[in-house]
Amino acid sequence: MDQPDNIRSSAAINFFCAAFIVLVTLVLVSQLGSQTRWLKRADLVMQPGFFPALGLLVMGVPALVLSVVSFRQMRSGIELESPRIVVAGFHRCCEFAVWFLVYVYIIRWVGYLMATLLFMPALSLRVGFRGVRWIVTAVLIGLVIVLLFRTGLQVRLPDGYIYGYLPPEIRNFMIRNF
Amino acid sequence: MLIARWDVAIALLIGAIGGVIIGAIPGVGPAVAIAILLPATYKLEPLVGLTLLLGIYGAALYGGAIPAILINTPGTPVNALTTYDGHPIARRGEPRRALSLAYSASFIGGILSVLALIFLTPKLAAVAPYFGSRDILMAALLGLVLVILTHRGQTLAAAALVGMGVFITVVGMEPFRLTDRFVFGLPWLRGGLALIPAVLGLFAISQAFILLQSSDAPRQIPKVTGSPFAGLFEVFRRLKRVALCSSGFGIIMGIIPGVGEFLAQFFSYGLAQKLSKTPEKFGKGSSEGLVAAESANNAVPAAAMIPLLALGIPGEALTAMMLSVFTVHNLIPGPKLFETQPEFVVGLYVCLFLINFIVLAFLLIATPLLIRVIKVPERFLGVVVLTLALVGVYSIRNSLPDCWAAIGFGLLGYVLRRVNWPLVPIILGMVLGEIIEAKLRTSMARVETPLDFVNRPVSATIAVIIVLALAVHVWSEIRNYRQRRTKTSPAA
Repeated sequence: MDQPDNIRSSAAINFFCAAFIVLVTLVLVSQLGSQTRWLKRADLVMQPGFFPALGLLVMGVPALVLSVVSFRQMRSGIELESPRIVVAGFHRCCEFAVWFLVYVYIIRWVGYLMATLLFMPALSLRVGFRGVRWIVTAVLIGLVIVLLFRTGLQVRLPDGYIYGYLPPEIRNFMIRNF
Repeated sequence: MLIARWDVAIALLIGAIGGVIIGAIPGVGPAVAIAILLPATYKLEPLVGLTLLLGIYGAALYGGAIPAILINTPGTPVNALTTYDGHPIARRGEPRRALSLAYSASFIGGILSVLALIFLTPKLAAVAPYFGSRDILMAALLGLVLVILTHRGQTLAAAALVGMGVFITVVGMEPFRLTDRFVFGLPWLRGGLALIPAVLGLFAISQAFILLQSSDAPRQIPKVTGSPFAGLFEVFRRLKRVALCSSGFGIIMGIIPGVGEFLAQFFSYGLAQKLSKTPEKFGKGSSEGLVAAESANNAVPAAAMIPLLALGIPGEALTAMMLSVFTVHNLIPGPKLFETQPEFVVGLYVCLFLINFIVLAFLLIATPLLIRVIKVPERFLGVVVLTLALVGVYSIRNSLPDCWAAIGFGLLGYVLRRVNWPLVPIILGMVLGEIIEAKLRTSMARVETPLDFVNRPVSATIAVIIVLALAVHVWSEIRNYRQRRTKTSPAA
């Protein structure tokens, strides 16, 4: 009797994820000798490489069992649909990850205040909030975030290079608060 | 008194009210908020920081009931069971009563768990000096085993992810022999992969990725009218037995490392249904079901602080994050904390107690305003969460590699969320893995054979619990397998 679609699909997804973890584990196990030290005349448990090996064992063995169990559940072999489900939307995630990293890097140039006031409306526009109302809301929320964390809680963030071009009084104020 | 200070009072208010708002927004949740705020709290005094974080943790569960009841979408994942009965009550024209029942049940759960914290923590802390390295090793091991076993239907995935978490902690320079482990020649990896970028990546950034891609379907919210106190009197008069039993379950489940809100509410809900005179109403708008679910999940946060304060062992991801607040301020949870910082401990108790009163008062007055929060589009929330995530990651040590690591964990978290695998085992693997390695090495001086690990009363008891938990799990898996075979064999 055929299993229902959702079980087959879930088994296929589990198989791909578990198989990927097994693959990663094997690569890391192959590096155990070179990436950890094994000392002479030391108990096994006291070896620097013992705990990484234990971690890889706990990671790899259940993943291997899961991949075998899931593969058996799939019955009709590997479905082509499943990897698509696993990576669906992943390319957009990568795009948002790039947005985040750009935000991180521009802070060092223009400072936290300016970077946030640019980042929030720009990303809002990118995800479809095109009206003036949304842009103004994004700018205001950005301002509140900066005032709360940087000015209020004095969270440590890098100063912008452009602050160096400001007159001394304003520069000190900007460095202290924004 | 510490709590009479203005900064503690502000933390109380922001934690309580902010937590309710965060909980009321579907898709954000306390884990995201706490992960973002965690580095900011390092600059605050421990009591102020912990009050803020615990306020958010506890209050978010109250707020999570609002969308669960009104739009059938839980505000936080642990409010999922609230939708079973809360939404049907709202749909038949009593949304105000359903909300009021949920708030009152949550209040009872919250207050009882704070009382349990006050009375049980010193008792556990008094036993704590008898805990040696091997006992703490076994307790941490029990936490890992329970984290794996409580993910029923996903135990293999949870075990693999625990292993992943354990492995992540070994990256960098190990503290005993000062040798590098899995740094691949990268100098920035020698400091290791810190907990905060992992937490922020897995909880906040991955959630932002999900929110940024959501479709933002319009939400129909029923009009909320009537007395806000109706459910309050109902719980205290007619449903107090259900609320008390479920809170008790929540407290027990909160104390046991690795169990948490999900099992607490499922057990409580099941028990309430069994004991009810009208079990057929459960899932169709039963006030008993709603009260059982809400009082159980709200009893967990304060109870989860018991093993953390008494032994320094976090039971779940959120208390694991809070452990770092103690560490940053050089406060060591355990019996010495009660001797050296009694004012801090008492202050924490009082703050936790007050949070529940502030939240209940705020909810009874401000619910109509809070309902507007549910309407905020998810994609816009994604923009806000991603912006806030930067504060959390970058402010720890202004490190670009931390941001890269957080993005890496964010992508991993996104995939895990997409395939419905749990995130918590990675974090607990990281936190408990570190404890296990340290205690394993220090206990080796007194260990000659493997049996020496369990030759102390405490470690032996915990070892027996581990074996029993594993045996019960294997037995139930075999029973389920046999039942499935019996069901499928006639058809085959």
